[in-house]
Amino acid sequence: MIKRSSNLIVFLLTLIAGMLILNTANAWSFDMFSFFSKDKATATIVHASLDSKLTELTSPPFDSNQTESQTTSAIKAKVQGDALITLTKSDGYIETAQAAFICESSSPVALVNDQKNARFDVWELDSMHSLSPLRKVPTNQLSTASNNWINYSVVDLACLPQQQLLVAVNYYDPRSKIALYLYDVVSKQFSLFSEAESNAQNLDKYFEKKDLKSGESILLYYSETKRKSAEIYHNYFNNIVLFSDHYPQGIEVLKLSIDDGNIEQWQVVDKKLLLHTIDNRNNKDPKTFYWSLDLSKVLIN
Amino acid sequence: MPIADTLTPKEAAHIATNSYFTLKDWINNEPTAGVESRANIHNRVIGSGNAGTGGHANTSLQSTAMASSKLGNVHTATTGFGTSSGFGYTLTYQAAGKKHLVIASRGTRPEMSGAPDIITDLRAAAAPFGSFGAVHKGFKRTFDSIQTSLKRDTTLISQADVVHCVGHSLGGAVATLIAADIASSRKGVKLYTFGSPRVGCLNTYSSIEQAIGVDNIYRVSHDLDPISLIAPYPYIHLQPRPNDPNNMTMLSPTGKLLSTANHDMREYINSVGLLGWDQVRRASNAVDHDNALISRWLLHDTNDAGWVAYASAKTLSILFKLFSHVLKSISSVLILGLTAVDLLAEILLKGLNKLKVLGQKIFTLLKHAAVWAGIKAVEGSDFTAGIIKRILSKMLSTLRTLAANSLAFISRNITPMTIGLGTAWALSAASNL
Repeated sequence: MIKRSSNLIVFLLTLIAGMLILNTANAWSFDMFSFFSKDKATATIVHASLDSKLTELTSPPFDSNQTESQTTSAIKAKVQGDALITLTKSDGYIETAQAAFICESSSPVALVNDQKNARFDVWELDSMHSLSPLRKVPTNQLSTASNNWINYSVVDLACLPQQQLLVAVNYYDPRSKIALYLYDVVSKQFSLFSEAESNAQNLDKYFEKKDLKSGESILLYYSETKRKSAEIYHNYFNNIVLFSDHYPQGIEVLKLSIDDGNIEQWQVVDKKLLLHTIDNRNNKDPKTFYWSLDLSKVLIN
Repeated sequence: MPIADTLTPKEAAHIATNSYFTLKDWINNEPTAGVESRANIHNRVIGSGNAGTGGHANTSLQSTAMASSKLGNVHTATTGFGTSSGFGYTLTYQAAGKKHLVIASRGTRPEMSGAPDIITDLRAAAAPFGSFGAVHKGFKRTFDSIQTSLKRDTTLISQADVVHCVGHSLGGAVATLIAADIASSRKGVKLYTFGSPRVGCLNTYSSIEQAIGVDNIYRVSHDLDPISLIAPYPYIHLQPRPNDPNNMTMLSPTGKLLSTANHDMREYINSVGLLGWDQVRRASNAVDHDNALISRWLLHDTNDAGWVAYASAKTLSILFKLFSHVLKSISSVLILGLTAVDLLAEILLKGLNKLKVLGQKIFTLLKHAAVWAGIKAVEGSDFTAGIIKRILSKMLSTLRTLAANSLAFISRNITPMTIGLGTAWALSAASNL
């Protein structure tokens, strides 16, 4: 009996050692050529304040009759001139490098890309009607390292409650990166909200925002893009953040792992976040999910 | 557009990416010989950009100033042993009262059954290319095969005020030949390449530059894209010198030295982002800065080569950076964007006296390289042609493996890119030394 057990232990140890050796060899190979990192399983995280779990549904949960309040989008205007700039609304295409982003307000400001100086600045505007720049707003630096950045420009802007702006910034340190900053119009201060990525399937999309009837805003952004194979990339996380009077700096209610899919469609109905997601890493066998998450503990209004 | 008559970096990068969608079933990530349906190509080039199930990012021109462009002919080319497939497209648009024509060419897709693109890349002998000089035979054959298709655009080409030739990888090489060919008979030709291998032998690059015009060439690469490092000397890039204005060699995105991901168009799109060409140039300056830092660190006094690991791709990358840095600092001749492999090939071609001209630092580097190649106990004056040949062979062998992997999941026993000519030339020269 003892001998049989000993043999079994030796066999198991040999098996484990063999697996470890194989694993190490593969790891070296992947590291050596720096291409395909292992497709590790990742965990979805629900913020503890919600006191609820992400629940999988068996059928599409969306309510076609549900109307969300109108989402306030930033206005994109064309920048002309150097020292004396003018901003012009245009129905046509505006190159982002030559654009200003403006949130409608009684005392509006514009975030103006300055292609010549490879940066952007904040300007106070006379009014939403004229869009005449009055003066450049002195703000804090985006980062202690931003003096060394080769370029930084605004690529998108979201208008949030409490005169806050969420700014998607593309900066080169010297590699190209995306970060989301909060800008407080009253205190004239930028603060880093999060490093981020563009949507892996739509490279011009940096976030998506929905305004709820109750005055809160919910933001979806993307992070941790990984290469699956030649030219095929995926966001390994989709992040959902609530901005409200109670959470002016935002609270990340959900960090959704690609194991539970990337968000295709989303809606907030009766204080529930409803999601349709797809994990398309195996494009021959994509996995579709429907989810529900109770937000009632954080949606105060 | 920011620069009159010129595509923006984003537009050029999207056009190069979309040229792959002319290949049948690339939209589903399962490319096969043949041509994709025109409806799907239109969708991906200037439509909603979501056709197919392959998981490709939407790179339609709808999100650019070129949204109103019109898709013209879809081109076919022959690669391998007569395999015909979609190879690119023409696009027309008007801007500031001028007629523009875009000719887009796709790169290698080794996932195709039979790997015909790879066989094309293997044809590494040189072939004459008009009055320009000698060019890579495989690229020239593909260029020749696209002529029948391109002839349908003869009128459009002659009527256009500006012709933009765009391509990635093999497509960049073919776009270079198309641009040179058109520029030999007219003005207003512009060339945009991403991750292109070297096309012309010796001074051919110079005659192609003269025909197109240096200001009309936008050559973007990542410093550690394995494809843009080959074929080795005597092949030389357009805009080869590090300080050439339109040599826009950008810092590689992965930060992991030589890497296949650095060759993806997706990473080139990310690198150029929304920058203008001036800003891409400015960003490319960062590459030299990095090399200098690494070089200072690794060449610090001791000459201890303990940091090199035998036959490692990572330390080969560092050797490349070191050679590049030293070449820039000590040589006025060998600075045409050449790598360690090129230098060794040239030394073998032109004789060991070249070493003495390069000074003491080159012996330090060669010592590191010898350790890397598994050759022990070599001192400065003991470097023979045979030892340099062994180092070069080992470097090419490692580079070959890397390049093979750059071209996706393919059999590793196929040499994917044009390292044959430089290798054969240099090694045969070495046997005569």
